Amino acid sequence: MKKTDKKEPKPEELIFAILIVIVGIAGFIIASDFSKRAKILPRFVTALMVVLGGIQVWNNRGEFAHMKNLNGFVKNKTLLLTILGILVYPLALRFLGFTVASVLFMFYLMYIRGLRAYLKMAILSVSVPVVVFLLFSSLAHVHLPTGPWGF
Amino acid sequence: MKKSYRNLSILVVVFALLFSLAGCETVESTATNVDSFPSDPITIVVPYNPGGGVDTSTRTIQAALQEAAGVNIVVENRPGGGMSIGYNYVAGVKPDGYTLLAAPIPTMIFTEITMRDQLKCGFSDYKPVGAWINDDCSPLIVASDSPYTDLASFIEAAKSSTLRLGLSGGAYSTDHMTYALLAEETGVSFNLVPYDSSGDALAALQGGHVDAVLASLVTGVSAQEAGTARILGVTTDERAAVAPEVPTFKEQGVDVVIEFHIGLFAAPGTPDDIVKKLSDILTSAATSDDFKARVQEVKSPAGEFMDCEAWGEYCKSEYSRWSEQIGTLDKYPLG
Amino acid sequence: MEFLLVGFKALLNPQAILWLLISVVLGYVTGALPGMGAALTISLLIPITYYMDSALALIIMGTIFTICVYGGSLSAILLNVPGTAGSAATCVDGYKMAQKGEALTALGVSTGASFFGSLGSTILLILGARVLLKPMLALGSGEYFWITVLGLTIIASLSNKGMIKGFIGGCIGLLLSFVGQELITGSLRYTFKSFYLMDGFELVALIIGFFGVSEVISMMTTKQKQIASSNKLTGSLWRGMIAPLKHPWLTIKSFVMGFFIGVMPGVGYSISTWLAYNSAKRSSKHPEEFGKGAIEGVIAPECSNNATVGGSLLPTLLLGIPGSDTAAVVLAGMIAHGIMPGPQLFSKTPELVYTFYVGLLISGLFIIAMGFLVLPFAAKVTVLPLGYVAPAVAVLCFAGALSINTNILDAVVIAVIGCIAYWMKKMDYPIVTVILGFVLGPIMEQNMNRAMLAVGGSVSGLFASKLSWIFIALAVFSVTQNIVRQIKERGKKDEEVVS
Repeated sequence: MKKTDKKEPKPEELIFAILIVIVGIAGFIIASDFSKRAKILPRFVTALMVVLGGIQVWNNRGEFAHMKNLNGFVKNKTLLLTILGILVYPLALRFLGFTVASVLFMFYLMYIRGLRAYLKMAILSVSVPVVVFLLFSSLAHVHLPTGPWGF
Repeated sequence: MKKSYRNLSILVVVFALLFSLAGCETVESTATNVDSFPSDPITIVVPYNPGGGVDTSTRTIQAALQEAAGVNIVVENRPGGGMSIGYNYVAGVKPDGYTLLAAPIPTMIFTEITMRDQLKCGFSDYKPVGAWINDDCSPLIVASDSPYTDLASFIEAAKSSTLRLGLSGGAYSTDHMTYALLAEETGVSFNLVPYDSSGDALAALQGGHVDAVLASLVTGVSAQEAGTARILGVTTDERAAVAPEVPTFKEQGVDVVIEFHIGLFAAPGTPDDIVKKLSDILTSAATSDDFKARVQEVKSPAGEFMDCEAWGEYCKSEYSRWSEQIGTLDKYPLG
Repeated sequence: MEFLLVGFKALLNPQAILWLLISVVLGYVTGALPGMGAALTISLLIPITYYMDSALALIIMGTIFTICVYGGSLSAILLNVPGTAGSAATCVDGYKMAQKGEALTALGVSTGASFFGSLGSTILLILGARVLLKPMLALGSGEYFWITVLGLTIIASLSNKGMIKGFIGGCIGLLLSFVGQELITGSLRYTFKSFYLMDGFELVALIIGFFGVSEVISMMTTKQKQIASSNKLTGSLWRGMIAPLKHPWLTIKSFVMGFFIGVMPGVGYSISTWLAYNSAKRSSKHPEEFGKGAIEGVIAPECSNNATVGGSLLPTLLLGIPGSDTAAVVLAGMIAHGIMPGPQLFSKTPELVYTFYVGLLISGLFIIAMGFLVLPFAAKVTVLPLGYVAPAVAVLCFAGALSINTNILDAVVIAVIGCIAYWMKKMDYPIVTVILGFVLGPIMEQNMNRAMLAVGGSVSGLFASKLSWIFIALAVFSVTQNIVRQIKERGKKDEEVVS
C-alpha cells in the first residue's frame, strides 16, 4: 500500500475499514434470506467487502494506538456544526416546509462560517429559497415540501 | 463585487417571473355539489413513471377528457413500490371526485392481493369510473424467419425441446401470469428470459437470443407490419382490433384468456352520483372524434369503452378470478 | 439530403423559434441544477407538444436533451457538483481549473467539447443508423455481462491511491444497487419493509449526495475564501472553446467512444464519460497533469457525454429500445405523437427523422450561443465568498434531490450520504468508483441472470456466445495491464524514496 511520506496517524482509516467489514458480514447474512438467484451477486460482493475491508484493517492495524488523535475531528467546530445542520435540515424541511427551513439553514451555515454581515446574510438567506421555491413550483410543477403555512 | 450580486439577483428574479407566467396553478377544491361538478381542475394520478404504458395512454385521452369535462385535467405521476405509492395516495385523498387513479387491470388486482398488508384500502373500496383501453394483451410473438406459423406448431416444438421464451415484465407482472396460464394449460416448460421492456424483448427476438417472446400488443403489431416479427396468437377473448388477422389463443384450441385494461378509479368513499358524472365525462371523451383519431394514429388498443357499470362488473369478476388463480404465479416462478 | 432542407423549413416560423428558445433555456437551467435533468423536463413538456407539429416536438425534445447534458458542466466546473450524471467526470479537472482561477477557460472548453461531441455524434447517427442495426442486435445478455465486467475493471485504473480503496468503493456502489426489489424473482433485498427502499436508490440522489453535499461540507470547512485560489478570474472563453481543435484525436476518440457506449441500452453517460476520461489520461503525453486541471480532462468527458446523447437515440429510433432513461422519455413522446420507432420510421417517414437530426445539429449551435451569453457571468461564482456560495449550493442540492420524487426521504439520504462521502473523500477513497459500481451493478446482474436463464440456469450461459469472448479477453487484458502498471509505479516510487 502506498504510504504517505510523513507518518501521519490516521485512525479514521481503521474505523472505516472495520465498518466495511461489519457491513459486509451483515449484508452477507441478510442475503441468505433472498431467493436462490437473487443472492448470488450480493453474497459475492459482501464477501469481497469483508476480504478487502479485512486487508485494510490489517494495513492500518497500527492505528489502534492512535485513537486519541480523533480529537482533531471532534475539536473542529465548524465541521461538527455543519454536519449537524445538514442532518437536521431534512427534519426542518418536513415540518417547516422548504422555504422557511432553507432560510434558517442558509443563515445558520453563513453564521458558523464566520460571517457577520447580518443584512447581506438575511437578504441572501431569504431570496435564494424563495426564488428556488417559485422556480420549482411553476417551472417544473415540483411540489417542494410545504409547512403549515403553505410554502 | 456588489454589481454582480445585483445583476445576478435581477436575472434570477426575471427568470422566476417568466416561468411563473408560463406555469399553471391548481386550486384546492371544496365543492361536492353534483350539479356544479366539476368546477375545478381534476387530477389523474398515474402510479408509474412518465413514458410508461399507463402514462402514455392517460395522456392520449387527456385532451378529450378536458374537452368533455370543461375543466383542466392534470396528469400527476406518483411512481413507486410497484404501483403502491400511487394507490395509497389516492386511497387517502378527499373523495370529492377531483383526484382519480389511472390504473391497469389485472396488475392493480395482483398488487392488491400480494401487498395487502401494506396498502391503505382494499381493491373493492375503489370506485370504478370507466375504462378506455380494453383490447390489450401480451401476444406470443416469434421472429419472421421462425419456422412456427401458428400456436399449435409452436407448442409442439416447445414440448419436444426446451425453447427460450422472453418476457417483457418481471415477477408478478401480467406477462408472468400469461406465461403461467400457458404453462398450466399446455404443460409446456420454457427457459424464461425476463427483459425490461417490450422493445428489449423484441430486439432479443430479432437478434436470435430467444425463440419467442411475450411482449406488448402495440409493439408486436408494429414489428409485424415492419416484417420483422410474426404474432402467433392473442390472449384476448376476441380478436384484437389492431390486429384482426391474428387468431386468439382460444380459437386455436388453447384456453388461455387474459386481457389488459386501463381504467379510472375514484377514491374510496366518493359519492355515487359524482362517480356517475365522471363516468359520463369519460364516456363522451372516449367516444369523441379527437380520441378516436388519436387511437388510430397511435394504434392504441382501445377497444370497446366500458362505463362505470360495465367496468365495475368487470373489475368484480376479474378480482374473484385472480384471487383464485394467483397461486399459479408461485407454481411457475420466473427464476 | 433534400430532407435536411425540409427539416430546416419546419423551423422557419416564429412559433417554432420561440419554443426552441424556451427549450434551450429550460434545458440549460435544468441541466445546471443538480437533480432535475433532461428526463424530467422533457416529460413535463410532452403534453404541451401535443398541440404542435410532430416534427417540432421532436426537435424540442432533442434540443432539451442536448443542452441539458451540456448544462451539467456548469455546476460541475464551478462548484464541483455535477448538474447531471454525465458531468461527474468533468468535476475532476474542471473544478481544479476553476480553483486555479481558470473557470472561464474550463467553461469554454466544455462548450467547445460539447459542441463537437454533439456534432460528431449526430453525423454518426445520420451515417450509421442503418449500418449499425445488425451488430446492435447481435449483442446479447452474455456480451453485455462481460462488457459490464470490463467496465468494472476500469475501477482499478481510476483509483490513484491504491486499488483496494477503489474496489471497496466499487463494492459499496454495487451493494447500494442491490437494494430494492429484484425484478426476476420479485425478491425484496435489503429493503427492511420500507416502500421507499423497495424501488432502490436513485442515481441522481446518490450523485447529489456523494458529490454535492460532500462538497458543501468541504466548502464550509476549507480555509480558502472563495473557490478560485485568488479573487481574480483569469482564463478566456474563446481559448477554451477552440481547445478541442487543438487536440483533434482526443476529441474524435471521445465522441466515438461516447456514441458507441450510448448505443448500448442501459449503459449511458455515467459510464462513457469515465471511460473517455480514462482513455484520455492513458494516451496523454503528461498523464500526471490529470486531476490537477488538465484541459484534456475536460475535453474528454464533455465531448463524450454529448456524443452519448446521439448514441442513445440510435436504438431508440431504430428499435424502440431506449438507450437511456432520457431516451425512454423521448420514446414516449414520439409514441404519444403516433410516431412508432423502427426501421419503417426511416423508410416510410424519413423526413421526420431528418427533421430530428436538424434539431440536434441546431442545438449544437445553441450550445455555443449559451456559452457566450451565460458563461462570463456564471464564472464569477468562483470568486464569490464561500460563506455565501456554500449555503446556496446546499439548498440547491436538497431542492434538486426533492425534485426527483418529492420524497423527504431523498433529502435524508443525501444528507447522510453527503457526510459519509466527505469522510471517504478525506481518506482518499475515490467516490467515482461507488457511482460506477452503482450504475453497472444492475446491468451486470440482469444480464448475468438472462444469460444463465436462457440455458436453463447454468453458468455456462455466460460463456455460450462466441462474441462474449472478445469482451472477456478485453477484461482480462485490462486487469493485467492495471496490475502491471501499479507494480511499475510502486517500483518507481520505491526507487525515488531510496535515492
